[in-house]
Amino acid sequence: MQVDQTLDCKGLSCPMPIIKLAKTIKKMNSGEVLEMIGTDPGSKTDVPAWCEKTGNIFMEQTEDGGAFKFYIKKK
Amino acid sequence: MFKKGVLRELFDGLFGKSWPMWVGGILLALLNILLFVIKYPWGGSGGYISIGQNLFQSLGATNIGTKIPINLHTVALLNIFIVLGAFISSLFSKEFSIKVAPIGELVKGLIGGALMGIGATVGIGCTIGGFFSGVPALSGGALFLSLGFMLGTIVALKYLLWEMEALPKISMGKSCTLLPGTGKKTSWQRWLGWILIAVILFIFSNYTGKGTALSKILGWHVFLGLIFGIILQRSRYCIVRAFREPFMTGESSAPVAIIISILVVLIGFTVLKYFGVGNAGETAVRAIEMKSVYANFWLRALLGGFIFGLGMTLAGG
Repeated sequence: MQVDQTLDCKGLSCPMPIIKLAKTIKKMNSGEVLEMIGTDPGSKTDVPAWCEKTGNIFMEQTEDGGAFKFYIKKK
Repeated sequence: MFKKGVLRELFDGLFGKSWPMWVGGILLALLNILLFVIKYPWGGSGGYISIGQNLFQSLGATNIGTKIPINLHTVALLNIFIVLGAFISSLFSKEFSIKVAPIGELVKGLIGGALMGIGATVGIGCTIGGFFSGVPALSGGALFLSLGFMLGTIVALKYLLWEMEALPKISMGKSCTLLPGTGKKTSWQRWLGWILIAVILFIFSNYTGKGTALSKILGWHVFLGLIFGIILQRSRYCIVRAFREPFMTGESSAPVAIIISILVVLIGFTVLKYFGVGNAGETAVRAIEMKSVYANFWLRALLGGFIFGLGMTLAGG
């Protein structure tokens, strides 16, 4: 998968990851993929819910050593 | 006997994935009604005031109100065992790790927490006692407190958005995660969880074994704290989200979950008051009507709620 931009949200807790995600996606072009890295377990439900609400495409989620990676394609 | 593996499946089902917030909301609502039967409706900030009084008195402060030892204070005990219960739940679900946020975030947490302490003291109540119990108890003060929460949340959210543009460095910087719960060698987390459950059950039986009315009430607060903590951790029931999401993402699952649970508590409290069940039965009808109805009717409730709302959104979590 080609990643166009990476957003580091490690150590941040609710609501900062979603605020940062919204701001970053806003500046990206349609069809580009964002990789978001975070450690807040709440993001596992928040990020897919945010994508559904905003119409962006939630592609994949991986987990490694306590950090989560989310891949989101801008609509 | 259970077929081998059924209990394990149940355990994995409970702690494998998070619960919908409305499920947590209904369970917490039922527990809140149970707390009203046992003693008083659920509260939070009163316990922290007690812990603060004990702490500052031990440091030599005087003239800080009547002090009740923490181990005899129902709300303080409940708070402590809610934290432990949530800790156990995060161990069981292997979500536990120590996450150290960037320094700017830690400072915001400290300031937010202090604002919450001030707000809860000015307005008498927090999102639990003043909102989750206060609104269903039909307290006028609770309505003004809730309005204050909403205004504080809007202002703090505006600040966070401004901060992202103007001072992005605050939420960047070094962070680290210790003891991650995923990956190899994590079975110690579940063992530690079981040991803590055994310790809490021992403390519970110690309280109830004393046999006096007060020690029984205290014991049940220990046990219910454990259950509250597990439900809160699994469902991520968060009242801040309900106040914040309408102004942030427009997502409605948190507000809906909170409205459902408030309705359940409202019905439960009204039945308890009407029939004078439990603790409410000890007092005259007029006094029952006043239970959990705060004296800080409007200006202080509004101001306290505003300060608390600022703090809770700033601190996050």
